[in-house]
Amino acid sequence: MTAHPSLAHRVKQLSVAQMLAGVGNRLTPYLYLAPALFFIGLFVLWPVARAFYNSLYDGNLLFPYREYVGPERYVDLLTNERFHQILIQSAYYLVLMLAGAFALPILLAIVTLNVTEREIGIFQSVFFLPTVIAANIAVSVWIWFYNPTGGLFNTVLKAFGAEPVVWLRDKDLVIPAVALVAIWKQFGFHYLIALAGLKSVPKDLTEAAAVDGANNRTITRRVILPLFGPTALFLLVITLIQGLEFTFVPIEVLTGGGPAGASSNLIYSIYQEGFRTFRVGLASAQSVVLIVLFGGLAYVQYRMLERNVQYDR
Amino acid sequence: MTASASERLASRTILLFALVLVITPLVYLVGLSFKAPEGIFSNPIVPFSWPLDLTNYRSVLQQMDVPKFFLNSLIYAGGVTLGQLILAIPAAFAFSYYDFRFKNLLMSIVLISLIVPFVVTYVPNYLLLARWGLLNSLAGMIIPMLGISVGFGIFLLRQHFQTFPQEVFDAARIDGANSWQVLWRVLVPSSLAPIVSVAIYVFIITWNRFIWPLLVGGGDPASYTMTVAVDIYYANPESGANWGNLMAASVVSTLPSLLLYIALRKQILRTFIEGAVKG
Amino acid sequence: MRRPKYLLKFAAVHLILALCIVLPLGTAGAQDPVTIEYWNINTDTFGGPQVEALIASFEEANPNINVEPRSFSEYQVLQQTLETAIAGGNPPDVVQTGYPYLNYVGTSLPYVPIRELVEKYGGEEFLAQFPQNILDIPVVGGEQIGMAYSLSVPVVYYNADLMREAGLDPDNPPQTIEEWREAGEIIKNELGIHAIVWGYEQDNWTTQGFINSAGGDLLACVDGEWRAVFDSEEAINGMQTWRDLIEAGYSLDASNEEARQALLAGQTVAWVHSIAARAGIQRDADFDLRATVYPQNGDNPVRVPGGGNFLTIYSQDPAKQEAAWKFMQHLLSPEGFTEWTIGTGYVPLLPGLTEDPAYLADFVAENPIQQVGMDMLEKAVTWVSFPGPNGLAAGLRLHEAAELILSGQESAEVALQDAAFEINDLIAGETCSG
Repeated sequence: MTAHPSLAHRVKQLSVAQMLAGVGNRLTPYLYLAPALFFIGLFVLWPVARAFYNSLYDGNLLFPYREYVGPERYVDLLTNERFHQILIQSAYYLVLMLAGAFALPILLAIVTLNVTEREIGIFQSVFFLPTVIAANIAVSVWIWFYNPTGGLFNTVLKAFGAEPVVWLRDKDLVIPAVALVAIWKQFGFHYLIALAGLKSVPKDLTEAAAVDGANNRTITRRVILPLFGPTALFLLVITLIQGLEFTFVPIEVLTGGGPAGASSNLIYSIYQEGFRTFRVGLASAQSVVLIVLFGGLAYVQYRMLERNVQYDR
Repeated sequence: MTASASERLASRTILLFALVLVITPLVYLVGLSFKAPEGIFSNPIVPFSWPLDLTNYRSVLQQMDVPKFFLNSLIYAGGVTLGQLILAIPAAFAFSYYDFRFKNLLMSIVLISLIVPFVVTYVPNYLLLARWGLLNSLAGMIIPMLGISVGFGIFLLRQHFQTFPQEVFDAARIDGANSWQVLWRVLVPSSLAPIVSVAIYVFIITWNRFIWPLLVGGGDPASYTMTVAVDIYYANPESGANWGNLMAASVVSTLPSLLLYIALRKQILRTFIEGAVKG
Repeated sequence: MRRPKYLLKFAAVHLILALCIVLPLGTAGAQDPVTIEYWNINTDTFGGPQVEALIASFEEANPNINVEPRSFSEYQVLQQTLETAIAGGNPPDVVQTGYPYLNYVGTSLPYVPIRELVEKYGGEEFLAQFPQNILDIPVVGGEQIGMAYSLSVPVVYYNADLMREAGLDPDNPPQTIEEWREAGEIIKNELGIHAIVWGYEQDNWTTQGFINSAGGDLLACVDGEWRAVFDSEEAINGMQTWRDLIEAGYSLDASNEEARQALLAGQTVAWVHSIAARAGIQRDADFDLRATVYPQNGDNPVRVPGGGNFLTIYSQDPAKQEAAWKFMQHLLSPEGFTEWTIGTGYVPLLPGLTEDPAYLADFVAENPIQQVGMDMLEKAVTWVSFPGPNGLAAGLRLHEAAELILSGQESAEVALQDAAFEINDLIAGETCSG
């Protein structure tokens, strides 16, 4: 088992090595980073800057600076009831994504620890399939399932004598219905990560605990879960930050944001204002809100992960 | 860790149940593609019809220039993958091997690039490509996507590189190697597994993208990728979608990612996940 | 000294003479081929082959013009790509614009007005063939921004077999809402399925049909400004009619695709949709498929929005403009319309084509469903599009109101009043002329 050297340790060694080798080029890391940063700067950061700028104006793609609106745009946006509704719906989606794409994969992974290696292989492969398929293709089948007259779900309900449900038009059901599709698509990927995280716990530790008389439950709780922390954190962060993006194609294909905007969320709303109603200024302002919200989250994640890497248990 | 027999049985049942849930939609996807057009509506519940009907596949292969679109997808996904590696490996190296003043800031920038929603980046990049005359070209499809997705590769590879034993580095330095040689002669050869896994994952994700290739390449059939072609040819609401063809075309366009995944499954799963775990 | 000077003058004169001959020859006629782009929403199963045939016949008659078609899955994607293309300095030439975008295009995009095309390249006789109301369809702010092309009207497709099974006479299908209600009761009892389903999308086409046919309107010019007027009693009645049909079980709250599937799966006897879907539904139906006219609501005359698209030109380069204008005239020729109607179902806009045996008379005689489309033509009104930069967002609001009404979440009165209020805010300041 290789130990993970602490950062400070490595820095010390580095400077020693550098002094020994006589290399003192401070610019080297920047040079290595330059190409990647150039691409990121041009194709990501520049559009973000543009978005900040565009948000202060009212206009469409052709005439983005038709009318100056200024910071009032944000005041209007943040006090707008519709926007509040979108934020609430976004939070709802994230809660569901946490349940289905964070908690559920972990629980299922824990359960999987009980079966044989070969079986694990099969489960892993099959669960990952939906992730491998293109989103618009995978989701198109669900249109069938949710079809109110001839779809699978309603036919089954009818067979049991229940009333058919209009899944995608009921404002209370639509978000769970759409979230289900997004979860189905991502589940396998997260499950795999969780499983690998659980299995990477060193055998000697679990065996030692068993020898000490602990039963499975205790082993799981006291030994595996704590060491599973970093993986869990990683999954948590992916689910939160990309959670809304996972729902995008399902919303676009299944409901178009409906009924009456009930299945929309922040990302979809940005898409709608930017690509459908062509209100670029508004779309940019919403993008800024999204970037700020999730940027903060990402930064927190980064610092926590950085700290965790230093742990050497 | 051993489980009791009853625990094992319970676990298996739960997992099997979940398996069925996950796989049902896919069964329908494939099944519908093999159904004759009339059969699709007359009996929607049963996913398969026997014997398997190849009408949909025949129409799809006739109507779509499958080899051309396949090639485009290949070049696009391959180009992005290769480009990503070229950009991300040195960058990850820089983040893991060195300590420098703006390290945290730059890493944050990389991470932020991952959060920016596509709606913000797609259109401005499209306009740039238009100005440079790169629309409807595979190069145009590839270049901005490198900037958009490279952060992911950097992040993952950094996690792996950070676990590389320091002693080997030092030995190489003492032997007189400069950083460039350390990177390409020492680090990369021993990190082939994670690099390959990242490559495969990027390849699959890129292959499956459809909004960006549609925006950039949808203007000329010569630059359609498979996913774009499926959308343009078969998903037209004004006339009523041709379901059988849509499903068949979907299956055809997904096949490569699927085969790649099946063939290299263990590789992908194992080392790629380890990167996430170590992180 | 003298000789060279004389030679020089001699050479200069001849050079100038030569240039006078060669230059005009060189520039006149522009022998280099012009390539133009034709953006459409036609696919292999919907008008695609016709587009190719029309392009082929055009290129044959015009050897130095090359037409590149580009297909999109829906108007919205086309418009979005169009806007980015124009912003990128790369506008297409001839574009099929969906009617919902009429006002938005007319006020926000750099189209080339028909008037300008006629001034520069001629075409008065061409225009004179069309009835004035057809020419007036794509008019915004007094300017004709394109030519009406694919015009569709809603018809009621129905399953004659199922109708017979329910004990009704398929040769005499219901013609009014009331008759459909009665039929609906019978159908529900006999077959346990729906009677007649209207699908709807974000474009408000179906909504407008209900409101107009109940005697209401969507927009009106009030004191020089556009105002939403669909919160009138008539409009509310129209939408309530729709909701009542759904509540009674005779109809469904469905998208176009869901409604179409319902018809094909035998879950409903009838489906109200565009005549443009004719070719596709005839292909997929495995029962006796027929069509009849849009049902009348009470005493109000049937008024339905004409669906489809009109053609607009965006080219800036004169050579391309001229080529595009020629192509447009080709598409709108008798031969062009004949090809188009047969392959799609869109109704031809030149008078007399359907009676002319040289063009569509035979086709219409053999295809009674197409005739229903022709019969509906006189009941067509302009498909309303909301004006101004927020026009598309306004349209979306109206669609949301429809969703609320049809799902039973809000009454027609409340939903329409709220929507009218919001929309008037969005379109405030948009001027109109009488």
